[in-house]
Amino acid sequence: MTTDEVTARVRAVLAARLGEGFAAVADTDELRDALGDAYDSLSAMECVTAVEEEFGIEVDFVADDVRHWFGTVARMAMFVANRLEDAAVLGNGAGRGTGAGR
Amino acid sequence: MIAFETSGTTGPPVAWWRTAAQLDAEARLLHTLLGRVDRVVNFAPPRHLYGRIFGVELPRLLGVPAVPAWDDPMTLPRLRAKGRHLLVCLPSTWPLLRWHLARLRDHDVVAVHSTARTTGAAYEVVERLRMPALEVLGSTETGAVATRAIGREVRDWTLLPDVTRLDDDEGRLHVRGPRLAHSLATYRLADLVEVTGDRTFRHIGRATALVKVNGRRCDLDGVAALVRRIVPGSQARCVPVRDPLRGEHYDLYYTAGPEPAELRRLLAAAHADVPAPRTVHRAAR
Repeated sequence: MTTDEVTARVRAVLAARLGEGFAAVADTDELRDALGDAYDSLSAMECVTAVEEEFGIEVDFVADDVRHWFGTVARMAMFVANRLEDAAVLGNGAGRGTGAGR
Repeated sequence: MIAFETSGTTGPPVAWWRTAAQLDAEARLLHTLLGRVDRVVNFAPPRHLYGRIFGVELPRLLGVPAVPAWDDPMTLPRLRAKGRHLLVCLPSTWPLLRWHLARLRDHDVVAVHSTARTTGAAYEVVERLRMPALEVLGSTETGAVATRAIGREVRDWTLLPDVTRLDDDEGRLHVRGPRLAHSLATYRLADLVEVTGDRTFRHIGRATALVKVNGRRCDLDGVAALVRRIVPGSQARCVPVRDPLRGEHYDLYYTAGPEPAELRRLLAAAHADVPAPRTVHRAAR
């Protein structure tokens, strides 16, 4: 999956949850600055869950700097791409629908 | 006396007064259902009754520390290696606990949940950790009224020992007891119930257009009226929805006026206490 494809899927996931204002947000915009209260801590948690489900990956809330990686669309896409690449190298088949257990 | 406020969706907040003895009595009652607690991790703001009882009164009663966690719903505070932790949960706490299952498995934990519906994440965490967990039904006006264990198959609520249920023609939960807020003799909650025993009932819905967005009360009729005031000539309707993170939420539909993103901004500016809608849709007339 190319970075552009990952970014497009991340945007589709976020658009479904962040609503009307998200379309105007650039990939590199800080979501908190661009969306204000529409991207509060709860919305961020919702987006983390949605991205996990979309790509079948797991976010490690201890090891990963979630606030950083989930602060912009571009960083989310980079995070996902890295996870998918790691999974491919390790051969554990992470990808959409794998439903990785916690 | 201590005041706890309920937000008025379109009007001023209302203060409900409670005595120190009432708070103490509630903490003692609920403690008997939880067993040993050595440390409290509190995700519920103590300015509200639920957070106050479990995050302030219970720790005082037991002489145990309480760790505040309500300001940052994305962070699970450090847990001690020994002792039993009580996790005081809101709906949004459970996805966080699910992310930390591996860490929690190494600890002795018990949980309490209140303020809004339990979610799938709550059931999943309770099942996977096999942890004791208690759900509390109540309100700022009444204090805790009833409890039940958290589980997919558990439906019946049991009244707390000092609560008396009164008959109600509309099927609402109508109660009397020594922990009602000052000036109340009895109180009819918005909850519609089906009585299943002398002291048990099932919750079957709400009699008013009320949702609790991660525990924050929101009068949907009030929000719709607010939108009609902000956008004269527009019709508006709020539709309650289940929410996997917040327990309950709502979608806003309106017929005329600014773009949805602008309406969202106007709504927030008009009344900061109104929980923002999950989605906003401008519908064709």
